[in-house]
Amino acid sequence: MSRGRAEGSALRFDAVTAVYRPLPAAGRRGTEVPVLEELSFAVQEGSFTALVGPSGSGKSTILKLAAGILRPRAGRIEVCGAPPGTRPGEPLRASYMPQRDSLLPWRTLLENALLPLEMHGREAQALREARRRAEELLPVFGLEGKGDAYPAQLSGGERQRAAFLRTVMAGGRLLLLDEPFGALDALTRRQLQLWLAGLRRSLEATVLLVTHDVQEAALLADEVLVVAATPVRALERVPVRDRATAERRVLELLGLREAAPLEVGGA
Amino acid sequence: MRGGFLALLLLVAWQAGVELFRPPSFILPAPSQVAAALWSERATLLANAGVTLEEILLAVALSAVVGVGLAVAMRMSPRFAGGAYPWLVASQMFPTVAIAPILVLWLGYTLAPKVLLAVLWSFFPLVVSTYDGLGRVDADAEELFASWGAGRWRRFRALEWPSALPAVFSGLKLAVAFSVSGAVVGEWLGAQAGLGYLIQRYSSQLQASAVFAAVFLLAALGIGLFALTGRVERRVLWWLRTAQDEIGREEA
Ligand SMILES: Nc1ncnc2c1ncn2[C@@H]1O[C@H](COP(=O)(O)OP(=O)(O)OP(=O)(O)O)[C@@H](O)[C@H]1O
Ligand SMILES: [Mg+2]
Repeated sequence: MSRGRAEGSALRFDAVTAVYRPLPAAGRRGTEVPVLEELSFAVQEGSFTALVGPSGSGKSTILKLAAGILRPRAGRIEVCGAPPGTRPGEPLRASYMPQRDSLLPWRTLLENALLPLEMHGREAQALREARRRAEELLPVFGLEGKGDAYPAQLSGGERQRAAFLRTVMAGGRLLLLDEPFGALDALTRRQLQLWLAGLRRSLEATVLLVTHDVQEAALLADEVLVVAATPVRALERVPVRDRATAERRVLELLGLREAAPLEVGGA
Repeated sequence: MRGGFLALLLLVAWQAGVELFRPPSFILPAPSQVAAALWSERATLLANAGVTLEEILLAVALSAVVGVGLAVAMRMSPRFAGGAYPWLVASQMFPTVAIAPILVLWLGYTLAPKVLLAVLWSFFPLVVSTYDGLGRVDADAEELFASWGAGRWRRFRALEWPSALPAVFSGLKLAVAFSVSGAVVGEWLGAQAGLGYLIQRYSSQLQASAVFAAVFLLAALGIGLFALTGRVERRVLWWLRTAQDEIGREEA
C-alpha cells in the first residue's frame, strides 16, 4: 500500500498489527487472536468511507484502534497527524460511536449526549450552549420530546439514535461509527443516513462508517473498504462512482456473488 | 406475610411448650412473660435502647466515611491498595474481643470504645464491597470514556461511583448488621448503659424474661435499621427499580 503523506489523511494505519490476548479463563490456556497483520490504509480528510466485512472480521477492532481505545502491537496509527486518543484539555479529534450504546441509565438522554463534552472539562457556559444545540438536534434525530427521558424509557432504535447524537455532540472531525443504523426501521434509517450525508458536507467531517449493509455503504460512501479475510492484511478499496457497480464489486469481494463477467477496475 | 405467620406459629409453639413442660422461668420464660417484662421495664429498656442506637448510628456513619474513603483511595492508587489491603485483612484476623478491654481501659466508660469496636467490625465489609464495586464497571462504557480522554476524577464521578453504588449499599447493609453486634459486645465488656449492658445486668439477676425482652428490642432495632437502609437504597438506586421490585415481590 502506498505510504501517502500524513497531511490530507484524517486516519492512517501504517503496518499495524493487532492481537487480542486470551482471557485467563478458568482451567484453560487460550491462544492469542491475531486480528490485524501489518495492515496499512488511509482515510482521506473530508471523505466518507465505509468499512464492510463479515461478522467477526475485525471492523470494530479497526475502529477501536483509531479511537485510541486499543493499542496496536506493532505499527503506527495517526489521526489527523497525531497519535490516536485524547488527553484531557485537548479537543477531540475523533468521535467514536461504539456498537453497543453504553448509555448511562442514571442520566437522561440529553445528559448522556453532553457527557463527552462534560468529561472533557468544558466550562458551564460552553455546556449550556452545547445543551441548546443538542436540544435543537433532537427532532433531526427523531428524538423530539425525549430529551429528559432515561435510557430505560427509550426503545432500542431511540437508544441508538441517542448514542449517535452523543457521538456528534462530542465534536470530533473524524466520526468513527460502528454500525450506527443497525437497529433502525427503514424510514428512520433513511432519514439519519441523509442527515449524516448532510452533516458531513456542512461540517466537512470525515466519516468512517462500519456497516454490514452493502447498499448503505454504496449509498453513502465515496469509497468502500472491504475486509475480505481475517487476520486482516489489506483492505480492498472500491471507489463508488455508480452505486450498482460498486455494490456488485463489494459483494464479489465478500464472496457473496459469482464474479460478474464485467470489467471492473482494481484487484 | 409468610414471615409474620411463621413468627406467630413459633410464638404459639413456644408458649404451649412452656405451659406444657414448665421449665423454671429463669431458664426459659413464656412469651407472655417476656411481653409483660417488655411492658413493665419499658422506661429502662427504651432509655438503654437509645444509648445503643446512638452507638450503632455513630458506628455506621464512621464506617461509611472510613470504609468508602479507603475503598476510593485504594481504587485511585493501586500502590496504596497494595500497601493497605494486607493491613485491612489483618485488622479482621486478630481477636477484636480480646483487645476490647484495652479499648475500655484507654477510652473509659464512654461511648467511644463501643463505637470503635463496632467500626472495627463493620468497616471491613464496606471497604471490600465498595472496592470491588468500583472495579466492576461495564467494559464498553470504560472504553467509551477512554475515547473521550476523560480525566480520572471526572470518570470516577460520572461512571465508577454510580456503577459501584449497588455494591456500596450491600456493604452498608452488612455494616449495619455488624455494628449492632459490635456495639452490644462493646457494652458487655464494660458499660453503664445500653441494651448489651442491660442484658448482662438482667442475666446476673436471673431475670430471664427481662433478658429476652432486651434481646427482642435489640433484634427489632437491628431489623428496623436494616430495613431503613434497604429503603434508602431503593430510593437512591431508582434506575434499578424495576429489577428490585421484582426481587421484592418474590420475597413478600
Ligand atoms: N476482547 C476480545 N478478546 C479476544 N478476541 C476478540 C475480542 N474482541 C474481538 N475479538 C475477536 O476478534 C475478531 C474481530 O472482532 P471485531 O469485533 O473487530 O469484529 P467485527 O468485524 O466488528 O464483527 P461484527 O460485525 O460482528 O461486529 C473476532 O474474531 C472476535 O472474536
Ligand atoms: Mg463489530
